[in-house]
Amino acid sequence: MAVGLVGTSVRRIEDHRLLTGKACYVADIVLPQMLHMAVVRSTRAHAEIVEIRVDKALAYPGVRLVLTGEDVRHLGPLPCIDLFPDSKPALHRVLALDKVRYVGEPIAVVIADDGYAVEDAAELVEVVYRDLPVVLDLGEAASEAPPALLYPEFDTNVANVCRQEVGDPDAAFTDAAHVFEETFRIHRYAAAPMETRGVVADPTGQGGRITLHTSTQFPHLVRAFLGGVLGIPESDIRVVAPDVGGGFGAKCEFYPEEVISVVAARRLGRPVRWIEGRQEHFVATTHAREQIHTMRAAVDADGIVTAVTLRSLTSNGAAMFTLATTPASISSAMLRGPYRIPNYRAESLSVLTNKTPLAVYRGAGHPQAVLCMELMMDRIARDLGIDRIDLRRRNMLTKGELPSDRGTAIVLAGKVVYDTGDYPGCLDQVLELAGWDDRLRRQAEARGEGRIVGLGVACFVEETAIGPYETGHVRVDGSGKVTVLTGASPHGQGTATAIAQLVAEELQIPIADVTVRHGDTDVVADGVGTFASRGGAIAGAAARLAAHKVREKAVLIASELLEAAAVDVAWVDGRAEIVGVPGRGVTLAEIARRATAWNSLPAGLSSFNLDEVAHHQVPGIAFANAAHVVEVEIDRDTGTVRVLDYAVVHDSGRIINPMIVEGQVHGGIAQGLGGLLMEEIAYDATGRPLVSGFQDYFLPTSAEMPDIRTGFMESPTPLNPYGMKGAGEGGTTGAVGAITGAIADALAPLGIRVAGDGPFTPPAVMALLRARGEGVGA
Amino acid sequence: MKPAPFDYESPVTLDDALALLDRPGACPLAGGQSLIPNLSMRRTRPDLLVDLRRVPDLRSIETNAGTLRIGPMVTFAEAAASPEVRDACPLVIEAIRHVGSPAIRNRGTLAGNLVWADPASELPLVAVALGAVLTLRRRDGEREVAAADFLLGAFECAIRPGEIVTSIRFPVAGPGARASFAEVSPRRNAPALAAVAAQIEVVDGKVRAARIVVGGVHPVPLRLTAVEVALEDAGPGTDLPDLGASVAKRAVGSLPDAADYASAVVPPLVGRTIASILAAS
Repeated sequence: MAVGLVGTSVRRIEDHRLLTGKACYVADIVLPQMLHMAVVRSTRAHAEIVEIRVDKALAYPGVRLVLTGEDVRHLGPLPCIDLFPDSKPALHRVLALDKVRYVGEPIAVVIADDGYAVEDAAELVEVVYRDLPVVLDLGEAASEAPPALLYPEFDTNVANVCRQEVGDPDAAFTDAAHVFEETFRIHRYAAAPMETRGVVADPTGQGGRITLHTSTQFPHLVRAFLGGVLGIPESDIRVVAPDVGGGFGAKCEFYPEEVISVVAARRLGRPVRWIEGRQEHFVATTHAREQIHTMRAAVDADGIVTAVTLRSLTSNGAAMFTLATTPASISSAMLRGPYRIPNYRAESLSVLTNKTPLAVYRGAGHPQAVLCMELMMDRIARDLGIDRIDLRRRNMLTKGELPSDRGTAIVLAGKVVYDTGDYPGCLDQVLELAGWDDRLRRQAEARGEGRIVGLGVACFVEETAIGPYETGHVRVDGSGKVTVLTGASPHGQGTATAIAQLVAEELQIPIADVTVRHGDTDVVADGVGTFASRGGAIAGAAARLAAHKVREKAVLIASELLEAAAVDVAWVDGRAEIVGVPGRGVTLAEIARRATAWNSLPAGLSSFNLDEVAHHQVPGIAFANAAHVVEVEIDRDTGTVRVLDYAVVHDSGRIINPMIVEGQVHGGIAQGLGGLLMEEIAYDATGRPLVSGFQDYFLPTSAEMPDIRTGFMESPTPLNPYGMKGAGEGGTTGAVGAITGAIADALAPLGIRVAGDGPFTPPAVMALLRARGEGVGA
Repeated sequence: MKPAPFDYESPVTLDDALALLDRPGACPLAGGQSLIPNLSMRRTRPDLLVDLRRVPDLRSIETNAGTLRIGPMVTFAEAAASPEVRDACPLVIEAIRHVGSPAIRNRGTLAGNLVWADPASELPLVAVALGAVLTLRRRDGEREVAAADFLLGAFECAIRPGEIVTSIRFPVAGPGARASFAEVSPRRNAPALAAVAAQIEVVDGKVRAARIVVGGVHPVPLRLTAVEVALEDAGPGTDLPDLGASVAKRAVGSLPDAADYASAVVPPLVGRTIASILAAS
């Protein structure tokens, strides 16, 4: 029945509810006496606050409260959890105090009886500013003489420097036959989940206990952060992540609205609701990606890359948010990907600029690193006349070289030690899947016809399934049904299905008998959350461990019920049977009932209930890998980039549900494609963002997506008992490098060099073509 | 994302609607696909919204004496599905393929789209290409304005306070008429960066009644008369797409205030629309 459930494409148990409109998002929560909050945000990128006039807003009918920075001066700032010991703690305040540092920074909140009045009144809050010089350009911001200091107390805009040092890069450069240098620029864009953020803060619990409903990826961490900022015990706080419509990292941050809504709700003694608008989202929710990497590579006469150095700048925006150094840390730790490159040095700066804070987004720093490394590989191959695949093979770690301590480390996650994988095998497989040789021939033909066709290849290794731990709690009650409580907080991934598969297989029961609950700190006592491709692997391992303990306990109880020795009891189809006597057995329900509190304690047991908790402590990072091959065509007349074909071979260890993993890879590719071809948050010279919503920020649709052929390899990790790695981010990580590589390849014969600088919109590509006299309009 | 306060009326006769629209600060609501988001972003702040949904007889599509008449509340989806429109104005059908998403086409109206005068939208090009005439009605009378005179600039048209569009009239295309619409946008169904609307009658291999109008170069649709004439005058055996593209390049290239990107891509798009029409003829 449930034998071999893991590894099969079980239909997602979440979908019926989600697709039939039965989901409950924060915006669906309506509480008695609920009030509405609006946030007054800075319209200036950098200014002193001279005065905030709130009288008119307070006088507006229906307004209950206006709070400004002065009202919460006593509250500490929002925590950043990945600061280094010598980081400059440029932390975000709950509400701006004395100064604003980006357009969109919260200055005040208005609370009113309804959602319309509150926005009317918010318009009546007048803020008098005294403008300061604006710092937007990353190079200028990090320079010795920046236009301004965002935090003069630190005497620099560089908030953090993350360093990596492996081997002796200086010696390698001295001995190098060839040295390559390139500067890669990755533009600023954002996760843009379908559901914006939102909160409902309810202070009406027993004794003033607070329930915060919030669209987050990590409710338990929100509970801890909120308790810390407010100075109240976590036991006075319940955090609920109801259905969450996508997060992609942007909801893996702790936001000011999660604090100020609670402050207001406690002040007024009534629930307070805030739902982020889409326009608001583009200034109020973290952005991502923007980095400049200056990379040098030392190469010997045989095309072996002997050393790489990196100096990177990340535009962190106006404050260090929850996970602020992680993008720079990951790209610096993971730049070398699957390539040996024995000598390495990186210096990655997190730089403060007058923009919305930047943090993690699907892949965090990986996509940028892959883009740089793979474009550099292509450039070395082109300049040295070596086949680009051959060059990769020469430099790639082989299966026999793993595990491999790479000598670098990722903040919070730990040392980079590649565990398992077959990188050259993965490359071989994707070339086969893509029909590489045939594609090269056809590319040559197409070029002969004057078409601009490019092939991109990206091989990468990525950090997944990070710790520190995750919880799983499996309980079988007298109904014989199984409830799993997981510390993961999925928001669209299908993690509940994956966990149900793991537990149902362990207990040999139908998946329909398993209920998975998550996202409520009162239901799930402890947990970490869903991010960094950890849900399925880490929460899955914890749940499976708990289910295993339940099964062992069930066998003990059954042995008493069956009057047989435990060794003579077999677990078959979800029931315990005496070995060799298939007719004599007891069901899971009977066993669970025997263990209830109104019976005597079963012999040999020390606790009642068929109920076990497991903490899966993660001993190290599991590293997934993949290879992507993509073909693009550029329309010479219009500059439009079309992705014609896509092949990917993905290795995320043992797969729980191939359909879900394939979906994750495809969705990830879509986000990589969108970010490269159409998404950008640009700013004007005064620091105002040029994006106001989905009318001018374009996400990809099915019409832009190529057919994707997906292959899998499974290199189990030894870091959890079931060999699983994470699969949530690899699609994006690979797509960014592969598509940029394909565009670069397409344009290379025209003498156009591409080093990031996306997005590759039709006008942007046309400008490249026209600069080289290639476009018809030139 | 909530609109500023406004009053709302939903009249059931045209006279009542026009009387309400005569009030200062009144604004008509048709399909709402541009207006409602702008209300929500508080970019538009009318005092009174007059919903035309319940006014009868605004949804008709009829052909009469060589004219196709489309009522002001006809949606893109209704027009696209109409055999009358298909027969009389194939260019309208071609253009609607590029308009928004199905949800937007189900609610958005052709008249509303013209009044919004978005330089990135498709219907203004078609209306100018086909020489459409709009009937504008107010409380005390009505007037007729050609589409080319109606569209004045980006988000600017000739409608006056108190007026609504009560019909859009298109001349019925001659026999052999073929149409093509091409555009470049950052993503499918996103606002166009550049667009070309073309309709040509091809009879016995000869081009007649060529209409070529381009968008994105100027804030209003730009008719390329030089291309039309060149196509009509071309001798047998001429490479018409090539001719169209090169004449378009000269025509657009000589404009002083043309948008850079659109000027570069419009000429080849002109060539493509002509090629596509010839391939279908």
